[in-house]
Amino acid sequence: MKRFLKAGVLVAMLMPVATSCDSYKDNETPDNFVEGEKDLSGVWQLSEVMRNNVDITTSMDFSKFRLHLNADGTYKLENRLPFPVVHGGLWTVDDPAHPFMLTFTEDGAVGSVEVSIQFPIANGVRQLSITHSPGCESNKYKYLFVKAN
Amino acid sequence: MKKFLKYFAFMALACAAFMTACMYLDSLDVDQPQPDGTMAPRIKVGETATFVVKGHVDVSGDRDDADILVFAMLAPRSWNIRYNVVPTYRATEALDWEDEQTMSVIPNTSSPKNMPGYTWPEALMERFGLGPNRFNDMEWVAWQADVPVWIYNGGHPQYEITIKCKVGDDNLTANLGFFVNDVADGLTGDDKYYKVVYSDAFTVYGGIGEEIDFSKLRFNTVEPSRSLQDDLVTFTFSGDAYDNDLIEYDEIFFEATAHTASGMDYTVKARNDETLMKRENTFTHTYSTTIWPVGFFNVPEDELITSIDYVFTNRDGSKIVNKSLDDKMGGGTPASDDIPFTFNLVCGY
Repeated sequence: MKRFLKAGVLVAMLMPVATSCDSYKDNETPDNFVEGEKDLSGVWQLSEVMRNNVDITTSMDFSKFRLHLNADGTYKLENRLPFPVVHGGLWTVDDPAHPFMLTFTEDGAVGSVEVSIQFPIANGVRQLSITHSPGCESNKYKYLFVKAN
Repeated sequence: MKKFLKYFAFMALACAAFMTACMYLDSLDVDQPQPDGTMAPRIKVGETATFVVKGHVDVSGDRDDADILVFAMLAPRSWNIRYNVVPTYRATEALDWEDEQTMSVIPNTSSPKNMPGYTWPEALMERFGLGPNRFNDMEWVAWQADVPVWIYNGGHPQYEITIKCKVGDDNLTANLGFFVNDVADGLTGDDKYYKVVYSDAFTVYGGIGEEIDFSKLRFNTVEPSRSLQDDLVTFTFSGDAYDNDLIEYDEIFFEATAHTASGMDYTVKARNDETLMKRENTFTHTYSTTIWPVGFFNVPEDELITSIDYVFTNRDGSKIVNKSLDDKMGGGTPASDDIPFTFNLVCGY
């Protein structure tokens, strides 16, 4: 019983220590923080191709394909592969800070094509991931791009 | 020490007790209602088949514990049974026969007790392979009952498993596999405690394209089996399927003609790096090539490829493996010796 009381006193003494720690103070006010704009422009090349969740990157030569997302808002495809669009045109993103949709408007086309994208950083390298079904709808392709040198 | 010995003896007894639930599979019904009112082991593409497995369990010895029913099925990969099959079951004694019980796919993080390190599908493929089938485009998938059932000495529960299975879009004939076991047994080496049975030839008809007979080996496969000209399509040559002249060559080439909706043909016959097929490994004579049909055949934008005829050749084109040879080796009698394989570019219905 004595031992129990001692332990109780110890816990009671430690409580103020545990609760008196100053909360973390950041100089930034969270409400004032503004997410920087993501720059998708550049020349992109394929680093990985998945078909129906199976990696087919080494199954054919994907090395020559380039997606040019120009800073002036135009784009072009070089050494074309199956892709949501066929011809060059204009590109935009839904939200420059948090881009989730990439919109392509082909030259001369009435409508535009929207593709959902991911824009992760892996091993310090910015990647652009596009999932699409250029053939049968049941076949899903994930193209993972990295910036071309 | 005494305590330990007692514990050990108890565990040994308990293990022995586990070994006394003999599993019986009494009947399998894969017949489906036909348009003429009869029943037959065949169904139209895309429809949902109902299979029924009936059996019983004989429990003897000291067993008095809960156990979980395991059911597995072997089917063509294109049926994607992991997602397109819903098995349910009912049983006598511990359960009310009128109550339909649910089952769930066993996750790949679980191994059968007696095959550690294997997932259930891997263990079943290792143990039973493809059964009477020979074309290796099938998969095993295992489910387990969501609710454990109490079993006890002297029990003889009857069970009935009903499998609703949406068949794929391919015309095919296959021997479907059905397996029953329980989690406590976990695929022992003694078939008293599990049962596996295969249906007679089950046919899916009414789709586009040739019928795939899973009881026969094939020289060729195409993936994805449903593709259009803007898909990336993989053609595979399985050189070990049957004897053939190409087995002696290290370089296998893909030769093909695309037929378009407007009636044009685009042929690629050059035997170069573009058409050289990749060997999968040095142990088998399996070669594959993946193409984007539009780019490979250099088809103009306004053309639509409807089918691709193809053969596999050696570098000088003197040796060829085509559909005629495939049919002949599979026991058929082709109309001529020069029929190429054909792949129709369609998505489904």
